[in-house]
Amino acid sequence: VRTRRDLLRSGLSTAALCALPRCSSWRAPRGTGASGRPRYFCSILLTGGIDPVCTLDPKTRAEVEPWVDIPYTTQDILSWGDLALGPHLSPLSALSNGQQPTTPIALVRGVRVETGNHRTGEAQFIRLRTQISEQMPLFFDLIGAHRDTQPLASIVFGDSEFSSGWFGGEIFPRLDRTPSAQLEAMAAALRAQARTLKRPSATHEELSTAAHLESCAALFERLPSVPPFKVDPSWPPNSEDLQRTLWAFENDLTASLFLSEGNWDTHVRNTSGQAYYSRQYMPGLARFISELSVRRNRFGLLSDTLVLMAGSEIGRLPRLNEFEGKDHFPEAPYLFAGRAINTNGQRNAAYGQTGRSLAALPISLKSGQPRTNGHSLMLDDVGATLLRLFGIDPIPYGYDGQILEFLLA
Amino acid sequence: MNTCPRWLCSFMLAGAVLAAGCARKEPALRAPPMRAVEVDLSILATGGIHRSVTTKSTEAFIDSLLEQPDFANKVAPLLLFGEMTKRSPNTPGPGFTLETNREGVLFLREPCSLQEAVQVHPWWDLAATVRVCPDSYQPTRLKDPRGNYCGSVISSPDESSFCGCGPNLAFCYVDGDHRRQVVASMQDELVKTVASFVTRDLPLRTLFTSRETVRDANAELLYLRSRIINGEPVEAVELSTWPKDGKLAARHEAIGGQHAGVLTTPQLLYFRDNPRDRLQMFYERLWCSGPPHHGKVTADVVLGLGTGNVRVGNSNDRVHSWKELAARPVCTGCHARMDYGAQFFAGYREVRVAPFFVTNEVVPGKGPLYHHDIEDPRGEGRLTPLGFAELALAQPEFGRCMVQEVAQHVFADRATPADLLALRESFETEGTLRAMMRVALRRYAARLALPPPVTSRTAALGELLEQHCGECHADGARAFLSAAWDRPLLLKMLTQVSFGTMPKNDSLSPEERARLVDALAVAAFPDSAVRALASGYFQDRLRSLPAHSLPALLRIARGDDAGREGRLGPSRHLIAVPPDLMQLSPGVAAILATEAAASCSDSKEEGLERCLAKRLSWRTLVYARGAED
Repeated sequence: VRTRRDLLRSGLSTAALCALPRCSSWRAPRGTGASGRPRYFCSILLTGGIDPVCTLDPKTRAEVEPWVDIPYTTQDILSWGDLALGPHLSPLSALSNGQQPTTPIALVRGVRVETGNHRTGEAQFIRLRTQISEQMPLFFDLIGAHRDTQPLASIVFGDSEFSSGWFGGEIFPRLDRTPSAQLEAMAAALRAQARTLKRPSATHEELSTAAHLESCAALFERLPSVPPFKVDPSWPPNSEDLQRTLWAFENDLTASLFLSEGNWDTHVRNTSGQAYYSRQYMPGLARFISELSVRRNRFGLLSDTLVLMAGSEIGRLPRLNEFEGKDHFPEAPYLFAGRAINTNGQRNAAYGQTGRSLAALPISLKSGQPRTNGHSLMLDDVGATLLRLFGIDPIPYGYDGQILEFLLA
Repeated sequence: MNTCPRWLCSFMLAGAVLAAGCARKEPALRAPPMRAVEVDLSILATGGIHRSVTTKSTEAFIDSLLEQPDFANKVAPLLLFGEMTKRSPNTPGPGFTLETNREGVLFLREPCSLQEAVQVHPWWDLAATVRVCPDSYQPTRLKDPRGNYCGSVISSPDESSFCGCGPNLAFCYVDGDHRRQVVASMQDELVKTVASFVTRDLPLRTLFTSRETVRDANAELLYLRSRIINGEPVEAVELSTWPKDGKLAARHEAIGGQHAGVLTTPQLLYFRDNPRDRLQMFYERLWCSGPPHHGKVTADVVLGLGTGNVRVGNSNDRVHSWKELAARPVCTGCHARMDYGAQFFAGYREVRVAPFFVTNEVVPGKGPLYHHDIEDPRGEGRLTPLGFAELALAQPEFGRCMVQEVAQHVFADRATPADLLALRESFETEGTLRAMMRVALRRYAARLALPPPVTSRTAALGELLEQHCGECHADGARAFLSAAWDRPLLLKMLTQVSFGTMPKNDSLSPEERARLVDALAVAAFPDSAVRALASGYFQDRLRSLPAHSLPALLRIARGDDAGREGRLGPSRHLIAVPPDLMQLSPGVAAILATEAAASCSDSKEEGLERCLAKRLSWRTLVYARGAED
């Protein structure tokens, strides 16, 4: 006998199941152009805490309090269209100043994450909200539960919390080596297991498990027809995961992907440490963004169908410590890319602003620009806004942040 | 024998009093267990399927499983220390790696000629002689003029020309492989020490207070370095006689209380790379107290400190700043616990600065320990690791945490208050891991033999809130029982109750929590379609069936019934997933499918299809669910 609660429960479980290719083929593909909702979400965690003044929120000496560390001159600040970028982001600056079509980029500065702890910050970043618990599903799980024909809800590169929809990027190399016949046999075995789970009296956990087994089987069935992944040596170093990411989206294998890179946690010798990790990873990130406006699949250009979010779990304290390092700060800037992000018709845009002590200033939710008695930007606002961007009502999932209208194209 | 009627136990969640009554008696277990239950019990107790263990009763079956070496050697270390038993520390193998030139001369920076080289008896074979470049030797240099200790990252050959490898090359490894061997020995010391204590059925407390560990010569070297730094003659230690597989031995102490069981093994001391992270990890292991995810750290709070120097240390200005941080509103929620706790380990500085115990860094006298914040003192103790351990183990959080670890391992996310109570009693009376596991497995087996409890889902929100939240929220600043429950408040309550943050005392059974979440969802989302979405998220948490630990799953997929400890592969980080979160996700399914396919292809006994069906049977991979299995 199905109870009232079982009926209530069936809502999302059914949604998750029907997001699988087998039962969702009747639905029109989404995200097929600039006017549609995005189809893919890619989140890149620049682990440890990039220094905002060196990267996404550069300042001149005159713009800040005397005790704020600005480890460069005004001339070192990079021009990026109408905007400015920190000296550690020269690869990004070069990208946007080129002549080729580009993916719109928006910077959002001064987002409150309300923690100075890496682990809490990372747990928040993968949920795009504060006040979290490790039992709480991840943001990717939500995007994945509403996906279209992609076999996987999410792919994760690097260490991240485990969740019900977890699929590690490190699994792909072993799948690359698996013969098609074996993939087929594995898929059949998983589908057979899923069938035994999907009995009339199945609980939501059993149905969810069946969905995961079918999701994995669908991937195995898809892979033989997918062009094999090859590392392109023309890319900058440390970019294999980024290349694999593009391959996964190009071949419509997942709805969302999380990737963590580097270790910008520079408690000792901040300037050289930040520069080192930015040299290691920013060229790859810039190349990744440039490829979005070139790579396509049957749903369109990735720049039209994908939303990228990149940034750190925490910020860096504006003061130097005794080791010439910078400790933790509970605010951070973020980069967003993709046609679905509003840049006011320009190649790029910046929203949010920090003041003389590098603390965030209140802003208008409409324009994203500073406003007296305006709104203090929170990570929760980013989460709620991105869900809205993907056509998902944030409230039933407890995402009660403000909608950042300025980000919505 | 059991005096609690089975029908009553099946309804034990109807009331805490009844549940507590049942908890004190072991449920009846007369009939032989079903096979699926046996398989499940075997996986939980030994990490694999022990088909050779057969007995007539479930009690005897469980006892036999807990006598298997796999329980002490494999399950216990993983249960108590998770990823720390399988992963390298952030800065693996503190020390420098030597290179060898064509003439066989060892060097750190630049090679030198055979004529320039000096002869040394290396720590890894004191009977042998090796040749080393003079700048790479430097036996008398232990600390540079800036106070940085040789052998630390901050004085590494890349950073400074001052240090060499020290007496008998004690700060160095002959090559990368040698370094990896030492890293493996660090992990082995933790795993084998846990196994030794569990095998001997010693109380869990002793694991955190003993001077003894099981270690090989490589691990002993890391202790030897502390003695060198503290000025003791290296000749006093003879590593060549140390047994290859290690031995149980007491560790040398420069001061009384230097060692606190496994807490002062290099694997745990340096698993994370700074004193605060170290303490955070200790509190997670001992008290199950992770970083609070509900703070509200603002820029004003941080900038208000007025300094960039907020690191833990003992100079006057440092002491002032960390004490300020530990007492500051918001910050105190983490820093009172971490920073005062770090004082007990002052002799063990962070791995980058000094990967040794340095006697003159020890803070003299006694100091306080805090839990939740600066308003929550937990007594004072001598400022040594042992002083810390004795204080920490005396707190109720220690027992609660050990109970939680065992409960999560055996019940995943389905432990009831009665289970916790029974485990707590076992901890208080016997205090050993085997005794607690015995209680948990018996309760688990008994539950599987019963139909699932039937409870009414509908209840008035007001009544439920009063019943479960009234103790803290009836009046005062946090009162909400008589307030108007608007959407934001309901969402906050829903979030905190659904994901286990509230109520704070683990007093809700899974069924009670589900009922409260249902009532909150009904109030927050009057629209049934929206409520269906919310229920999937808050009630079901998008979860699938709880699965066994990664090592156990791999053994099943590879067809290794028991005994063999296979490689974990590239997804070894899944070892860190807590048992209550581990599920059969698409990625886990993919890993198991590839492992099973590889193993089945090698096996000539049965066809691929049949073999995969057996190895990938979800019934074996997930926790058994009840009588229907």
